Amino acid sequence: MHSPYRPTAKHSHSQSAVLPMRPASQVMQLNRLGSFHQSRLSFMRTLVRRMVRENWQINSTVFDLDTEGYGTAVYEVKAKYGTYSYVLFSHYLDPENRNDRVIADQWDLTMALCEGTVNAEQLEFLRSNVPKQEAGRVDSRVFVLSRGNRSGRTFDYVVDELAQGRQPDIDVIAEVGYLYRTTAAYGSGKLGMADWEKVRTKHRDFARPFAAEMFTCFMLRHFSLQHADYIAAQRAPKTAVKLDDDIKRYFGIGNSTGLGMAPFLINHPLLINQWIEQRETALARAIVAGADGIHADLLERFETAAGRVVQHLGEISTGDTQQNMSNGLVRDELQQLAQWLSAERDNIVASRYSWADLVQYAEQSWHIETQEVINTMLIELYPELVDDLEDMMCVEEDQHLIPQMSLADLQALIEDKYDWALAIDFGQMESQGSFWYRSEEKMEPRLGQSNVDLGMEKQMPLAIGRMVRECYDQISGHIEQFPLQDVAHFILQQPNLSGAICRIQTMAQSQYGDIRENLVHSDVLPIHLLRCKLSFFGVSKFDPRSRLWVRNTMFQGAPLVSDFDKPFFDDWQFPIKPVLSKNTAPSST
Amino acid sequence: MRVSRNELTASLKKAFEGLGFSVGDYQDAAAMVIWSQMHGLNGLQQLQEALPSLYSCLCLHCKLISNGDNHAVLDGQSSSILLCGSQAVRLACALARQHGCGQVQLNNCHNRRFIAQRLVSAAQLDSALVAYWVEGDSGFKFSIEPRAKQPTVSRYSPSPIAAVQSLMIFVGNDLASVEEKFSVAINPGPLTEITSPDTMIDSYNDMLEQGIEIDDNLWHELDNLVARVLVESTESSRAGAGD
Repeated sequence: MHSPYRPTAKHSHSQSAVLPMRPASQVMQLNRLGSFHQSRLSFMRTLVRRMVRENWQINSTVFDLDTEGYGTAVYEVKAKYGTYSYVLFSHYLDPENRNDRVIADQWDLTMALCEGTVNAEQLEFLRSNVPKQEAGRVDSRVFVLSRGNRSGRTFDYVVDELAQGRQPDIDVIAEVGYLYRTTAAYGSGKLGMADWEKVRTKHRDFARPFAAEMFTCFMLRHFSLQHADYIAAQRAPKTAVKLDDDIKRYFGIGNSTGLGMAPFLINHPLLINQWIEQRETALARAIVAGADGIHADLLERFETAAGRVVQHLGEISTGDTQQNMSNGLVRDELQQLAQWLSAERDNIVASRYSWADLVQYAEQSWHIETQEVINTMLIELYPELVDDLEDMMCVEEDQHLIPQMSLADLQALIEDKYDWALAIDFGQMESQGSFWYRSEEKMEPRLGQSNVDLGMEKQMPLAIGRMVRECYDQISGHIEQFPLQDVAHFILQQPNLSGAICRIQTMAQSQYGDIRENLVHSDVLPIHLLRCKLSFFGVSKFDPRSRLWVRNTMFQGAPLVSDFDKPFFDDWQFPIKPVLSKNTAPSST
Repeated sequence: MRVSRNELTASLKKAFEGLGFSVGDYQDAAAMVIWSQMHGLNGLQQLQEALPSLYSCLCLHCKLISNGDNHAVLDGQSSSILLCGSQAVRLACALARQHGCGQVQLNNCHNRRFIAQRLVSAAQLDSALVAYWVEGDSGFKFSIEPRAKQPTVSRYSPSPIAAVQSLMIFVGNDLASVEEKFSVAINPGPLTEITSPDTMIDSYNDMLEQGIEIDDNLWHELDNLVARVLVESTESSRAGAGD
């Protein structure tokens, strides 16, 4: 391999007042966004840090399940600023009817996160509506509505093993990584629930994006582990053992994510800008911190982290050829990195080699996915420089049109900020080969093939590049006749362009936010959109099932509720198989 | 039934899209209705009254009739403020930016109370605004300071001079100077009622906490409009969701 090590004389860098942020032309490429991994700023990570730091008290006040594990559970959650209730209904589900798609109408578990303590009347109301999910209605006391399905591969296996007094085989668990997977977690006012603004302003414990939704999934994980223990003990009270805590930590929650997530990224450009800007700021801070050289102990931690990612990727089981190939390439490249770090550590320190050098080498020599893993690892090294950014992830999605801007300035703005959109040739048939639409089935977003599938005339306006192109062409034609006109007068004549102009003018004031890809190209890969958003959620183990949906794992490796009052090292990213002790005690209950 | 703001916004956007509104228009229109409703100005009732004409509307916008240095006259072509309000406010703001103050008279338009949200939105860009119109035997004035989140609503009775179905918009850098321009142009008659921003804030907070009450029939009607933008599901289309 070419060595990342370049022992050349270097000038000392001082920390620049302006951080060396990566340009949007690099960051906002779809394939790069689709290579993002979770980081310290991901919502699961920040939620777990908060729960542990504030020692949230989580106890079941109702655990009314039959011997098969069907019934009702209610958990009271005492957080720093308030009390909440997590209400869960466990139902029998014929395996034939188990379906992860949005269009499903039955699930093994359904649950709701509510403000305050739930009384008997409210519990009955929830029992009548929560199991119906989209077909029911809840009220503004509810933050999140969610559901989960059992893993066909692990749930019964784990319960059987526990019932027979054995811990489950960790290799079997590694294949899947969870007992239940969630197929939706609705919040933000859907189905009558509390608006995000109410949650943000009234309930500080969940005043970060998707915090309540992530907590609901964390609680599903907590219940799933109790559920397996409970059913095993009911089935074989004399022989059953409880799951070992190390194994419990290695269980996450499965997740299936489809196209529903994709329009969100396009329709919330200011929020996406905010998230990516914080992540890029974190990366820039880490790189600047290593500008004058890297301490040996940091290098050692970095090398350990590389080894861990190699193992993590090696333990991922996916049938997707492309993902397998990608995981293999990243492993190879990280192994090269780890070997180099091990062999050259003293020279690296002595030569004042910087993280910027490494990042540059990676960009020139390794695959994008490896580059982004390295970036995540760098962010991980500097919690003291990064963690304050977790409070900067909110922004109001407030777009404003600037009516006094001259058309000439708007034209120049588009040429400057949307050069990527103007570079797309929409005259090519494949450039408009796809279209996005909402199906009448639960308004599920779908991707259609132009001139083949029904519904082109009802397509969603997600083709930002094409929208910019059309707007630019209209302006360019108009400006020849009215060279001094402003936007206000232009939209009197072209009112249908006001939405496009409003977005262009708003987004031109931010660095990130618009995804630089033609999202209606025949070969568009929506899975990159999903993965980008999921990385901000904090998931791991991406398992693409097609170019349109992906399975993944949430909270795998995270602390258990029973760990909250113990010393906590926030290092559960890239989970790996635990090393287990040989003996397990029989259950005493 | 009660719905959340986000839920109603999503439904209204799609419903207006179903009526043929373009992207910017349906976003603005949804925001206008929601704002009026949550701030106690009966946005949903107004929408219910407006819907019959919106079904048959041609989505016409404003037409420029005359344009002076700092003032302009627009013809709303019998359209709703939901469609032509944004254009009128934006034109007034642009004139104000160029000349220190701007005045737009929008004639021949309907549902003028919905203009409130557009004024609030424009105020966030450091403009002070006053809008005035006559409805029945009363004159209504909405006035808002730069960056304020709620206007003050004044009601006058009677008002003898305003043209039928017209809306006047005044814009400047500070509210005092805008009010002065308003006073020179219009004599609204005696003031009969003032709704303060505090009243609107209370209404807003209450609906945020409890949800928004909506008539079942209107919700059903919105659902029917939403259905216009949905595409029939087929076996083939399910493949477009990953099956």
